[in-house]
Amino acid sequence: MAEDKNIVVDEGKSSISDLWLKEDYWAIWLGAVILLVGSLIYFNNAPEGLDAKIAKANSIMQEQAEYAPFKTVAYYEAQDSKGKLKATSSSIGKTIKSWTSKPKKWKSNPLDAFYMDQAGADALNAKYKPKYEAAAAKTKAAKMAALTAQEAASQATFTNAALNDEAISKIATWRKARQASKKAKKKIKHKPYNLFPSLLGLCLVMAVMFSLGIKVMGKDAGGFLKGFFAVFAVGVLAYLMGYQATMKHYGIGYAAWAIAIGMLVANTIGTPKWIKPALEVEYFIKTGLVLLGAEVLFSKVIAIGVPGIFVAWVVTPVVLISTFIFGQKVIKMPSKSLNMVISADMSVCGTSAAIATAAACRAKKEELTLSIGLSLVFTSIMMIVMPAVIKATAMPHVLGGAWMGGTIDATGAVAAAGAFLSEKAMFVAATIKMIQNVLIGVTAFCVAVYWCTKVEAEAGKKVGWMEIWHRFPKFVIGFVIASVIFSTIYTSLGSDAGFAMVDHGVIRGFSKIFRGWFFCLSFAAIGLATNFRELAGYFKGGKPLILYVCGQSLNLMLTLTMAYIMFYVVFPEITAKI
Amino acid sequence: MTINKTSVFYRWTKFFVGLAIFWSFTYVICPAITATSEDFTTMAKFIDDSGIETGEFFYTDIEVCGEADLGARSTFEHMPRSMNVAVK
Repeated sequence: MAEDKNIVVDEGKSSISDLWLKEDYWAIWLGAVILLVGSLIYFNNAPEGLDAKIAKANSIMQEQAEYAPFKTVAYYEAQDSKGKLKATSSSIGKTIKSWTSKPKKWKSNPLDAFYMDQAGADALNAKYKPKYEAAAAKTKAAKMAALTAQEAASQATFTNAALNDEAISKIATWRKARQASKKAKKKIKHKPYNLFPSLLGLCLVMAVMFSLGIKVMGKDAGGFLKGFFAVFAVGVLAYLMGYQATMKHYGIGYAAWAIAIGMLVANTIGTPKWIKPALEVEYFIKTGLVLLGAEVLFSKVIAIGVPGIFVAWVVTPVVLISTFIFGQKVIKMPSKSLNMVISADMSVCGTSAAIATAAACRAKKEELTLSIGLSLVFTSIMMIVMPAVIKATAMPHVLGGAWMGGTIDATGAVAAAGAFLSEKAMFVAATIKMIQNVLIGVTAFCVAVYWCTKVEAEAGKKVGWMEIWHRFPKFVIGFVIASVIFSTIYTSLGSDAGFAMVDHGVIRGFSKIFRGWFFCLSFAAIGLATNFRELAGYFKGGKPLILYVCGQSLNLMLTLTMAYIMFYVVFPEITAKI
Repeated sequence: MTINKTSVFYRWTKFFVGLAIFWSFTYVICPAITATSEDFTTMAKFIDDSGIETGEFFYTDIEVCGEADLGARSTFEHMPRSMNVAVK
């Protein structure tokens, strides 16, 4: 029975009261309320003249696409103007951002993450101003050079390959300089901040929200509230450590720190009894996952066309299934759920896939912790080693980007590794990873169905539809519905307006803030409830490590092969235009 | 989790040892690893300058993914003409 408490899912029967007595449904209701509030806020605060500005930018881009055989300066400027159209830039968007801000980046003084006065902000702005001015001047000069080279290519009616290549190269230099200038500009815009009141407010909002469900479900709401503040405090510490400068170098984010800090408390001084009613891991995770569903936008799949789809959607399931079978048949993993979580974590997209799959296949907390730990170690290594290998072997950046995008687990690490090579590599890597992110929904759904129909079914017994329904983790339905609704809204608005209103509105400006905190709370709760000795037991014989290494090796080989075939053999014309 | 049969002093000592390990991991071990290789230091400097959120795990958490999305979409929605097509 004690072990059952570690697992996330309902018993094999359903009733109408489940709608208010089960945490799966509460996760759906809370997620729905957050998404509804976010939608009401942002759909009523669209950027001024949104449609006209999009139409104008698209008209310029189309004209330029027909004018030259490469992306011209005007093309990029029109694209950049579309990128600035974000609902989060509205005044209410900025207010929400300031009231939901997580601890800031810091280096040596942790207080810098929470508080900065006007003098501190002014000093930083003054420090970085010369760097920004130099970057701005460099960008201006690079743009002039790009325009000159483009004009020379135009004079030759774009039939001179050398002049075209020169223009492409100068434009790429300008883009790189512009990116650096943009980053430098951010560093001269420091403003004073004091996050203590906003963090307290955010904590209260979440405490009330979750305790409402706890109360209706008949649990100890008072006890939950008392303990919640401690779990939230661990979450704040986790964010604090995740934004420490050196930790960012290794991609060690809040997830790892929340588990580590929680485990430190649990395995040394012991988690106090008054905190335990708030260790509602599944409740936090499932609510976060319903919100994550809204971020799984299917329109994103077509972002990089057929080659990207093949790399992300063919290789990934092949690696996932092969690794799972390998784990069962060859390594003989004792736990099917651990095998599945590691396989999904390694093949799909790291922590987020691990969370979704763990909840879908009733994995234990320790299994999720172990998978995330493995993913973290390999992500840190691959984020540094892969760009070095790509550079050393002079691999084309589109191929290298696709390779990294398909294999490095965490999206943040993928973006950093790609950007380290070039803007082109980052674009390809981040887009491939984004398509993999969208795969989470399909993966979680398929795993939930597979677990209900095969793994949990008695041998030789056929499972009926009602039985599947009883066993099915209902929050997955909320996840899928959120994904379908927001994908439909995104598509019906059009990709540009969807980008401004859904992606950079409801999601980035509202739901993902809560989703991040909910995952952070769940990791903190996992840490606070994890016994180090029990965790070590799951690692016995090193089987999880062997599984990860073998699966990742297959992933590296298949992704590289598929990326080469797709980007350089089957669709070289698309590659040339990226 | 309850830890029985251990004194309060012993438990708190373990806690502070754990904190010391975290501290040394953050301020000693990781910076030392970074300093061992030029690849590591270059990457670390790049991450500092770019401000990319390396610890985040979903595309919506990372600003440059939005830019990548826009760039990739632009390529396919407004793909520049082929080299061999005459200028209009």
